[in-house]
Amino acid sequence: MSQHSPTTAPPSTEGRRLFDLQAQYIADLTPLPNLAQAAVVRSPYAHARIRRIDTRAALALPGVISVLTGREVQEWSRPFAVAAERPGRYYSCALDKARYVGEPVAVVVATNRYIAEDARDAIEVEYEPLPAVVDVEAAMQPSAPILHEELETNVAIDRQLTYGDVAAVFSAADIVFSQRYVFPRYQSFPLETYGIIASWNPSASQVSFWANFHGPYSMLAVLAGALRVPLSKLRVVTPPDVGGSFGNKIALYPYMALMALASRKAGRPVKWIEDRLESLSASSTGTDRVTELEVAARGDGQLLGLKMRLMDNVGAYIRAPEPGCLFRPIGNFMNAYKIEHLEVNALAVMTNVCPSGPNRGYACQQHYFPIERAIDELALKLGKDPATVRLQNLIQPQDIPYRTVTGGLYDSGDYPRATQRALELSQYWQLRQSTGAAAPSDSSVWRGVGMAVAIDPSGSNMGYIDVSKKATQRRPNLVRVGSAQTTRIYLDATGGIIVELETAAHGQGQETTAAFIVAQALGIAPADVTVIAGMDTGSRPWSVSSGSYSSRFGAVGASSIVAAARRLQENLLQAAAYFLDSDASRLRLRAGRIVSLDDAQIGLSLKDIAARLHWSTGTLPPHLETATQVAGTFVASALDYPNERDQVNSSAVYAFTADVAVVEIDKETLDIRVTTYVTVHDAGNILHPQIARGQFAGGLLHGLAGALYEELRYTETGDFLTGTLMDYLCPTLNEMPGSIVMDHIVLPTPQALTGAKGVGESTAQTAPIAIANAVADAVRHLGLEITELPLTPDKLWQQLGARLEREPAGT
Amino acid sequence: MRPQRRTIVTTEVNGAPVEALVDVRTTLADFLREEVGCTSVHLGCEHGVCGACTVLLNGLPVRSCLRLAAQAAGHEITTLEGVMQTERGKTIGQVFVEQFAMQCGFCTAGFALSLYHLLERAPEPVTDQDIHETLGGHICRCTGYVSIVEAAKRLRDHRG
Ligand code: FES
Ligand code: FES
Repeated sequence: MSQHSPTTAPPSTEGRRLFDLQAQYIADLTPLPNLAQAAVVRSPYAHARIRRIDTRAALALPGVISVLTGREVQEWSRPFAVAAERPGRYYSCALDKARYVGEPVAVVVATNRYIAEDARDAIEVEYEPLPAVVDVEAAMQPSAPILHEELETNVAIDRQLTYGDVAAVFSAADIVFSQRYVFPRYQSFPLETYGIIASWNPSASQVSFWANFHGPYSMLAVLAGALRVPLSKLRVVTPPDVGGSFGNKIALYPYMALMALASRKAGRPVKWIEDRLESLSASSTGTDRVTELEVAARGDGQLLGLKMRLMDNVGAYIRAPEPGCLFRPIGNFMNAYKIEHLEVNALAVMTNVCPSGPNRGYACQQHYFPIERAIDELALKLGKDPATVRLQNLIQPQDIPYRTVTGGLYDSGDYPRATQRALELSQYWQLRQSTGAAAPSDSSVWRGVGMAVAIDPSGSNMGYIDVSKKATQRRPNLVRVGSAQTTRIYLDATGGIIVELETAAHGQGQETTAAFIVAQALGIAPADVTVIAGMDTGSRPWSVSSGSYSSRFGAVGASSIVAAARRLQENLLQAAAYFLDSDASRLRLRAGRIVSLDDAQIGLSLKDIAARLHWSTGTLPPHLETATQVAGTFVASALDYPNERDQVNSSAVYAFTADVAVVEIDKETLDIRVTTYVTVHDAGNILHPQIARGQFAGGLLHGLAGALYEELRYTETGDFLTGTLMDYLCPTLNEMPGSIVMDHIVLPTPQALTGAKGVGESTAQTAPIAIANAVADAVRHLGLEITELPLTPDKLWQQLGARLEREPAGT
Repeated sequence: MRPQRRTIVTTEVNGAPVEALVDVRTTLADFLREEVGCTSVHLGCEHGVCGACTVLLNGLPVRSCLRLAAQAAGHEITTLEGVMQTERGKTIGQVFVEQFAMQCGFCTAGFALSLYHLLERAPEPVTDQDIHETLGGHICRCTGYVSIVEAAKRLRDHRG
């Protein structure tokens, strides 16, 4: 038995495996004999017709097995399905035209990767370059180059959503203002890139994949459709160790299709490990967005209504799970504010850059950035403090449960309390006295403080995506609703407990947490619970909403573990009642034993019960025949399908985050440093304190990166500029805030058996905004406006220069 | 394309002699992973920035993605597989596991090796600055570095 009592959170199982040198990442696997290696030929042009592909020289190289081109891809597959009015035709490989730098054009398969790359270089592709467009607003102009000619437009989606009486509140408002905001394109950048082993074996019953894919498994339905096979003909194994994703690997599936076809062409299994340039240029990125926001408010600071025009740059092809960036936060469109009137024009626009997709915090940072920046502006216009205006507009605890005007159900929380806590911990009010214009003028830095709050949605409702269609165009006979997960637990013949994870974890410590949950439920040590990691669609239960994404493990995945553990508990009581000839209601499970309430001498250990259930099957009554195997399924209960007014409860639960950032900007170099970062969460029950803390800190890193450092940049003609870590600047320890303060309040959600809300994405949503607000506070007195990210010394310098030109005598 | 020249590399990996015929262009990282079986060596960028592929060459941290296997000839290479045979390596592992100084674990071997080198080689005392400089040469995308710094400080404080 381990030294940990079940109430002490156990150390990392996943970490132990790593230091035992037993980790298994996709690159480490050779699950099949005769494995060949693939390299992908990619377009160097942002937009070009493919005239000719000459593979002869490549095929003549010793060791080269085959080359797959668009010809076979067109013949053997179909375009990927996506929820968009005008989607274009998206295949795993360019057919006659390439539409972004890095788009696959052919796949070489060879006996090793070095030879495959030699052959890649030996393939001659004749391109006819076409004019390209990379800017989302430019791409909407009538004169713009059209990516998908058959559509005659680059606009894939144009939806108008109206909630409440927007015209009325705008005409009644004391103050109305508008602003344009730009949210940049950056990527989650998991340290491990995409990796796939695909086997198209005509003799096997299934097309097999080993891949660092982690769901949502609805993407496998898209994949099966593209490969023209029934879903049951796909088997996808996710290894126990996946080197991070943060949403990036959800978009792995087009490459799974490509490698399946490459394997089909080669006649043998194919392995492909993406390199970093491929990852930065052609895997998946967060969506960049231009927002035009109009705010209506009362003179006392009360927000009345918003009008938002969201222009999402979805890249060359709109690819599932897009247009999630437009619609995933629909239930929480108003963040944590009591605003009842909203108008949204949601546009998804295709341009000659890499297709977009989920990125830690998917859609929330894009959505909240303009709102939270505008609240600071409103406060300034009214001569109030931004914190005061926020506190005034937050949904109050007595309003909860609160149904948002867009359909979200906020079931728990105390937003003012969490916000006050963040203000307190950061000493916000004191700091306010010495930032911006109030800072001492002899200082070498400008100082600023800023805050942001965010509703953090977790456990996406499969149905939200149908808001991309008008109510009349939705499929009447398919009401897509829900988020469900199943976990199986087994009791072995010696009393051992086996938990089979079906969530395809990728760095969230789910094995550790699962063991802890089951150990607590059964009163045993976490070390006595064996957790089967990884995932295998060929042998474990799953459904379209399965997987680890949208921070759903705490609320949905872990609740299915609780459900299974409860079922096993019940079975143990029933079995003990039978073996002891007692009444189950007079028995209790305590510290791994079933004991009688009536006589302390009477009881059975887990081991005794297990032995009898396994060895005495011939004597068991029917209700105990399968007592050792349980499946717990958890279905998020309050989810619904979008109604005719486009309202939907888009997520199972909603956590809350309130952050304060303090920045210093060097007056000479304009270098921006975050000196203090305070983040306070209401994530409901915390399942494992250290793991939750790690998620908050990791989310902060991603948010900081988006605020100050990381941006995928293209030239106007679509050439890609940020293909290495010298151009794409991932923060190291030296860029992290000097002081990081993390705290939480606990208001459990009644929606989940665990009482837990999400922890994984929270600070990734708030940090870009809190930091932007802090920088704005620091430089406002210089006449600078902050309306776009990332904030770099270079951009500040340009603004300062422009201002000095306008007002040469200025400060 | 010309046929590649091959060479026999004779080296020592984790204390054991290794002799192998390799393409001269084979990187040290690929050699260690594919030929020697040291799968703790991870490739995050293959251009020398992220630090995931860090190994010790004659005791000094180097990026194995930037070197050729042929350059290892006559030198001693240590990977996490070797470090875990030492007491200090085991302590690093234990403290990392207890502190949750990893999430996905892809960066971890690199951090552990640089830290091993720091704890092994730095003259007393190891300052916070030393720790920052050492860890600052590695990229982690999961932890925000918070737990890694805590683990490093704990290891520094318990250094015997
Ligand atoms: S893989 Fe060698 S430094 Fe990144
Ligand atoms: S633990 Fe995932 S990159 Fe560091």
